[in-house]
Amino acid sequence: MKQIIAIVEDDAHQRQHYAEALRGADYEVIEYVDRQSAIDGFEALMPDLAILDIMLGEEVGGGFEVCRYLKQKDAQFPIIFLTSRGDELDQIYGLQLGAWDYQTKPVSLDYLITRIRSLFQIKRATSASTDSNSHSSNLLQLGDITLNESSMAVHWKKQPVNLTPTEYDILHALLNAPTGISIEDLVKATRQGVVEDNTINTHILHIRKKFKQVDTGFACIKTRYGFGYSWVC
Amino acid sequence: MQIIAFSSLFLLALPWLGYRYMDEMKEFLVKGQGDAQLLAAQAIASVLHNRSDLFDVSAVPSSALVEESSLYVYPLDAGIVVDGYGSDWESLLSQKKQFGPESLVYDRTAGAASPISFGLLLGEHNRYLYGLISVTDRTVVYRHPGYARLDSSDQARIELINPQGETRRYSILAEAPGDASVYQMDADWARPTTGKPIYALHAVWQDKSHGYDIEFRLPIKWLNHDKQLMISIADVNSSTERKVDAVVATLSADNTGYLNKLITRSPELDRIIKGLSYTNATVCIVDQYRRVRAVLANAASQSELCSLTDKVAADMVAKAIAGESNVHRTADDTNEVLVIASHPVYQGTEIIGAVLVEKNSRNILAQQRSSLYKIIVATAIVFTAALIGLLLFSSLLAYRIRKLQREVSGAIDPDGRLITDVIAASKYAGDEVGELSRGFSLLLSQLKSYTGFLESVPRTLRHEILNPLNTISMTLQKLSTAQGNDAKLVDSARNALRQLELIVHSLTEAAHIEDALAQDEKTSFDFAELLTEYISNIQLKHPHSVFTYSGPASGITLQGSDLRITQMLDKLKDNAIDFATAGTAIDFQLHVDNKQQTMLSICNKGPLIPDELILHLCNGISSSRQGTSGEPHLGIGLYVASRIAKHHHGSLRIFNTDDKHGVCVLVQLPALNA
Repeated sequence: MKQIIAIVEDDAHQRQHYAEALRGADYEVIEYVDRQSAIDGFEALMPDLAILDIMLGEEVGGGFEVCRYLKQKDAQFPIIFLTSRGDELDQIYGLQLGAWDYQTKPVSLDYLITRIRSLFQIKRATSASTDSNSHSSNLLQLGDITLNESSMAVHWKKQPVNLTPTEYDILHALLNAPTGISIEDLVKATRQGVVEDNTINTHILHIRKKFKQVDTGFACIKTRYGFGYSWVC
Repeated sequence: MQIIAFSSLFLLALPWLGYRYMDEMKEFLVKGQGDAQLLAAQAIASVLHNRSDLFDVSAVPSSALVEESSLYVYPLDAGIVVDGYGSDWESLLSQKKQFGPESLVYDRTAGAASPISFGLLLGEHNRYLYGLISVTDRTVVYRHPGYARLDSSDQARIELINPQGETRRYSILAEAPGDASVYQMDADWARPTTGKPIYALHAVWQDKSHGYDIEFRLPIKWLNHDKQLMISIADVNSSTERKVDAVVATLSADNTGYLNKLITRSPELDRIIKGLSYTNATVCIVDQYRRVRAVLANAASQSELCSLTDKVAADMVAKAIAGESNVHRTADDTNEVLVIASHPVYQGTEIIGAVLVEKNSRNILAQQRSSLYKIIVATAIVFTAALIGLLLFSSLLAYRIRKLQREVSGAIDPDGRLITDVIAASKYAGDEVGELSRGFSLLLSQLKSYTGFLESVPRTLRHEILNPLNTISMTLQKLSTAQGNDAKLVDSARNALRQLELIVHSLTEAAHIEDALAQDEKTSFDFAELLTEYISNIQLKHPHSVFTYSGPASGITLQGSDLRITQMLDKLKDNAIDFATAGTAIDFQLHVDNKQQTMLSICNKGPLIPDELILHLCNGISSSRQGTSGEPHLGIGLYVASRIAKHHHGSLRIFNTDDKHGVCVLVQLPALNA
């Protein structure tokens, strides 16, 4: 059975491109133009994943409303936000909408499909891990940190750190570069379209915050001014 | 305005407070006056101390006799016209002393005849003793010339002791109303000693409804030192029988053999207290028998001090004679306060009299009224002046604010476009309006720079966006006509897209830099350490450029966001790389000046910036310089950098080097320590 992906995007051309690309990747796609029609549609049929544009027509935060609605229905529902700028990342965090993924416009269709695949993979892995802990072969261990490469789960000092896929990618890239990694390489790792230092900086900030929630003394990510970041633990 | 009006109401309390203050002051003054009067009384008492001679305390058998036998002689302001009419005595009539049956010394009919009585007033003026005798007698029997005995008609008798110690008796009788005859009489009052009338004792007889009045005058020198004198009235009721039925005297039958003592005000005491001249006060001196010995009356006050009706004074005299000083205050209905002070006079340890000093508070009240008037006038003047001042000030203020308002509203045209960024009104004023004006100017100039940025965006963007669009358009044309290499064409289109993305990105960055800066967390970090690390890192990143650094390796702490400072350095570094002449170094210099300001200069050798552009470089999209990187160059980088510097309470300045070989950017940031 094909997995159903809902796209809520007010721009018809963009929506059509996403839909075609996803259908080409063998997903079933339902398209919505605005918040109300999306919510009405979800009442009838819940998709498996939703791609939300934040600005829907006149509603500046329409995407957030749809997200809230979906979260009420299913707290674990996977959502990918399409944001037009890095600042909105802060807004997403500020609204505490949960650990979902974000894709800044312009969107690379290939990368969007990769993301969707990994989200479904995580979903499967999460539900599988409740059955058994048999994925130890994909574990990456470095000091106090443990990365499960198949379920994208991260543990710091045996405590889970709930990262988004983008944040996971950044952390993964950091851990794989013992001498530090430049912003440019991090951009490549997240497959972001444009060199946008602040987006990376924001992600790093959020990663640090999440680690500090489980360990207030966390200081393993060091800023290398004029270069990038390095993992120093 | 309402608040000002309301609060100025409190000013109205000031006159009330003044009035309250004056009231207190009056109270204080009256009390002070009381104390002063007591002191005056003490002073007068001290003068009289041990001067029993002044009190004329002759030996008397009993104080009861002294009391009874005393006849007051009132000092008269002017001589009395001896005419038998009591009109001259008007002011003293109330002091008239009455003698009736209780002082009956002879009664032939044993009460059968109608009783007689008389009133007596004695006065003294200019060495004469004056007297007014008002006799109540139902039947007046005049003298009949046919009778040789003089005790055959109604008459007044005066018995006195002359300076030689001899007793003299005089009868005053009349044949008809008018001048009376006076004879010196023998011991039994029957016959005259000489038969010759005495003219030195002048008397006039007048009929009255109640009987008759006799007014008389005699020289005081007739009296001895003790001024002993007795007056009696002999009553004859039958004009046929002509026998004396009764005699009423000024001394009762119990004291037969004695004479009354005339109490005159002591002239010596009067002289003494006059010498003390306690102005505007009434002074009264009494002896131990409560007899008034001297009064210094205050002409202004119709004082009744020491008069018979003066109960307060009587009480105070009693207390003073008992050895107690006193101050008494009474308020009358005109709000005047009457203050009486009393003090005893001593002879050794014995009290021989008392001094009373009375004064009213009229001059205090007058003082109070004049002060009140002055306060009212002063308050009115101050209020008027303050009101006029406030009105002038507020009008001036209102005028200035209106002018400022006109100018500010005129600074923007109806379409919202900025016409000027200079507000001239109150530009140099040091007050709040001046600050407001300067604030507006600053606001408008910031607005102008921002609108300048916004207005320049479409112009510059058109140029910058058209290039990549053109590339894409051409690529698409080629693709549609299947010319050339597909992969190469797609690459070219991708590059054009990337350029467009960069433009949008930098625009977004510039548009949101303020919001983003406000959200940043501020920390303390070592700027020198950051800079050294930064330079070594960018050297790796840009191997074809040369970066030099001179300055400390650590120890300059800044407050703010290290990532933003790095972002600013990136912009400045990119700018310097763009315009540096190939092969020349980009020089970073860092130091802290004596005002705790961190100064960072980033200099590159290369083309100069035209002077007219320098001012606008940091205002946004304005650069027309052609960079070497091939990336869009909108000058946005400098705009973002200057915003970051400003956000860190610093500034950013661009200038051509003095040797005209390059351009420097000077960043000034306040340091926490150095």
